[in-house]
Amino acid sequence: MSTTRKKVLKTVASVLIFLFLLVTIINFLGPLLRPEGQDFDGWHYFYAEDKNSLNAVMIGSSAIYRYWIPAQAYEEQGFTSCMISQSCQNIRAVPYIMEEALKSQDVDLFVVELRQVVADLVRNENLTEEKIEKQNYYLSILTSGMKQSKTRRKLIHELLIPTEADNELEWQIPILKYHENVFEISKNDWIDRFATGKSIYKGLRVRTTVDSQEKPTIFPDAENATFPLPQKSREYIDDIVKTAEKYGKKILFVSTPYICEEARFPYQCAMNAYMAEKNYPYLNMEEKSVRESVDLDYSIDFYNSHHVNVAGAEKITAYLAEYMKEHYQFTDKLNEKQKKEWNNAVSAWDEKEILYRQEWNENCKQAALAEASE
Amino acid sequence: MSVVSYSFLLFLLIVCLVYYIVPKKWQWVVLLAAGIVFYAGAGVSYLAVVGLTALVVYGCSLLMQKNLDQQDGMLKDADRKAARKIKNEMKHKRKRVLGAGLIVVIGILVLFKGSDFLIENLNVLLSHTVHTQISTWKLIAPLGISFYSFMMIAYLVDLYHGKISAQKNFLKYLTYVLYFPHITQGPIGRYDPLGTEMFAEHRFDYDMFRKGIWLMIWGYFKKLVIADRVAPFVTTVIKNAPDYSGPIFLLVGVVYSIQIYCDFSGCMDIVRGSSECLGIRLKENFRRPYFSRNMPEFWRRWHISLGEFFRENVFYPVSTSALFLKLNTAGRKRFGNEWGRNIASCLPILCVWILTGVWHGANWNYIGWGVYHGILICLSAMFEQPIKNLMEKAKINTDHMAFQVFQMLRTFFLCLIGRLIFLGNGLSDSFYMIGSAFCRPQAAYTMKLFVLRRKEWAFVLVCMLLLLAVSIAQEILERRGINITIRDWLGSRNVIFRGAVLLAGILLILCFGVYGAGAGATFIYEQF
Repeated sequence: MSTTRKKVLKTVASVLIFLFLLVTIINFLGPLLRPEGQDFDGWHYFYAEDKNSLNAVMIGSSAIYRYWIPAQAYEEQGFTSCMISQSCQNIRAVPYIMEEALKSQDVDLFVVELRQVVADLVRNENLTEEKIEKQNYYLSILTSGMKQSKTRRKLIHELLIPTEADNELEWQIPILKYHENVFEISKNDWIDRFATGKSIYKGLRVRTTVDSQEKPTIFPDAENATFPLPQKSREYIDDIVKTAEKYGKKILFVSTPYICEEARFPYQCAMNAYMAEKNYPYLNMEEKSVRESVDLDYSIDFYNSHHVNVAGAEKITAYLAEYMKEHYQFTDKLNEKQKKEWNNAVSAWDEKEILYRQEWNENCKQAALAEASE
Repeated sequence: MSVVSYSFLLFLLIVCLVYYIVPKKWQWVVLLAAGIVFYAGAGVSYLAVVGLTALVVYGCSLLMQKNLDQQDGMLKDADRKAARKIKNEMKHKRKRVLGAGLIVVIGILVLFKGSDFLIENLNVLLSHTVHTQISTWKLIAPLGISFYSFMMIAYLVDLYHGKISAQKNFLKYLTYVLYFPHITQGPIGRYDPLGTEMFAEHRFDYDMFRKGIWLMIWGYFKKLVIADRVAPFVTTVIKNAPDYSGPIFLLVGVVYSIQIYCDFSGCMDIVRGSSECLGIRLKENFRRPYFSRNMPEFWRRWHISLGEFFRENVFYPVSTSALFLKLNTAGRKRFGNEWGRNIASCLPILCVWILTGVWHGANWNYIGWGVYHGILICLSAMFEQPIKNLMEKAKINTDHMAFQVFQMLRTFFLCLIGRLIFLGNGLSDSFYMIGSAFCRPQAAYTMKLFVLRRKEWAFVLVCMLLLLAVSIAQEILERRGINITIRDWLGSRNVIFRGAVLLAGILLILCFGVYGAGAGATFIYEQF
């Protein structure tokens, strides 16, 4: 080999190594620069879990993270779970989330909350610029902490609505989009982001505030449906089922209870009807029998019309965890160290629960007083 | 297409690929196509303006070339006396062509850049006399009009003097004008040697390409990490100048001086770097101007190509004109040789500086800034010798480093005052800022007044120190007569060190730069 040829090969090799290093570092830095806030930390906590240590992954919007307490589920039913749930998580993102989750967790069950099907239908009725901006913001909550992968690229390509402010290139290379956060992130947050990031409370995001709600007299049952679920929404749900089938994984759709306002009500009914028609595994927690078993107290178990508080979350978790345990097989995935870790999470939750309950009691009293004064 | 956009990087990559793939003799066609695409990005109608202006200049250049060729033919058999006569006659004919060309180029420039200013000021005059008003209209100037117009003027003037031969191929001439690295903000490249280099065949030179990339990264660092980071502070204070008071204006002056240097020289590094990727070297436009020890030196190191343009196309013609020579003689008679010469030389200096001010835009602040610098340079010329004598008498070692640093700081301070004139929202704002800068503030300063967060200030300060360190290193090398640049030095290091520096540079820009959606992505000099 001539000297010139050797020199050229050496140069090409050094350029390739340089580019590889650059891309690797850029990919590594991207999720670290995500905005601050619990909403953006979902993936961080998920990735932190030991490989193949989760039985169930709970996917959805706030209709999951305000309703589910992983440590309680483990304590009561003995299976491990993690939430990949962000505010207003787009239902179309679920297949991609499942795909991403399966890269590190060979889960037994995916639980997918369906409220967002209904919320999206109402929200997307007239897609204004402001709504597009919001949609893209919610997508950024979902994707900013996600590791760079083909899944992430596909997810963004499919769901992003490009605008002047939202250039797809910047979304695909997160360092370009989120680099300004470098001055926002606090020292402690940096430490947390560089650490393994395991959450002792397993991503717990319940609230203790109380806002008394009027118990609905009519519930969005399937029989109240006046029109079929729009085709697009059907396709979204079918895609989720197909993805689960593709990977040979079990899936459970759920609908967590909330006060369904007038605009959402017909869509909620239509969705329940569709789920019944397709006979998909579906736990509608507003169905009469489930309602009675969960026994939510609308005056003290909600913190707003769309979300339960800690008391409501405990009831929902207890019921849903029992239901999951009864209907699905969960393999024992934990070694001794991991079991200890989950037991620690249970202890941490038990301690936290006492504090939460105290706060909640206080809030209940104040809510009662406020109601009385009215 | 801004040079700080993603599309520019992609564009440059594609141009480089095509440029080195096509047969060498067609490389200039790639540059022409690239220039057209780049410029059309700013508006196809602007492309038409540039194209038409270039066509007029091209026509004039052919006429002048014909004249020069005729002159050469006629001079063959002419004796000395006849030769002089022929030269004068032919020069006279060329002058008419030159005049026509200049009228078109300068006319278009004034139309786009100064018409609203002229009308506004004419209206002020009219309101006092005939009470009628001319309706104002604002044309949006084509991208880089001040730069390419000056390149065209320099081309015509060089041809007039017979320094260059006209480009016979209009498309090649258009390639020179539309060359995308220099059209928006210069450097104002002279046709010789740039034209020659541009139309030469270029093989891919890895070393030059690599150095081009390094220079671009250094430019992006200056522009995105320093200039654009501090820009909101300067803009906010200037926009709300009456709400501020005290030495904060001095800080604004310092910060703006650094900002405008990083903005403009950063852009120059990016365009020179991208040009080097194509194997074409553009002229250096900045040579660490803040290390200058006096104002004339500062202007030989700041926006070098503009300084050279004015020196050759305004200063020399004015100072060798009959009127000036008369003034010179009269001045010497009245004030003695030295002072007379100095006083007389002030006229062309002031002409140059008023024009330099106007070149930045038809605005009283720019004119005021030009006059300020003109006066400083005149004073500098006038007092150079007396101060030298004084130093000698006082036995001050002017070669001592401490004295040199003092001179640099003094020059920087004078520039800083000029910046405040340049920056103000009207001359009254400028005078308020300068006056207030040396008074106590009316209220205690809070962090909010400084616009940026503490972390940002701390970071930008570190970056400025890095810039200072690199500049000092380069300055020392130059002063010691060591003819290498920092890039040459970096190129001589081992591959791991080079890679690490490059990686650190890119990551620094990616993490700490101001870019992307929401960022301005404009340059201060782009508006001139």
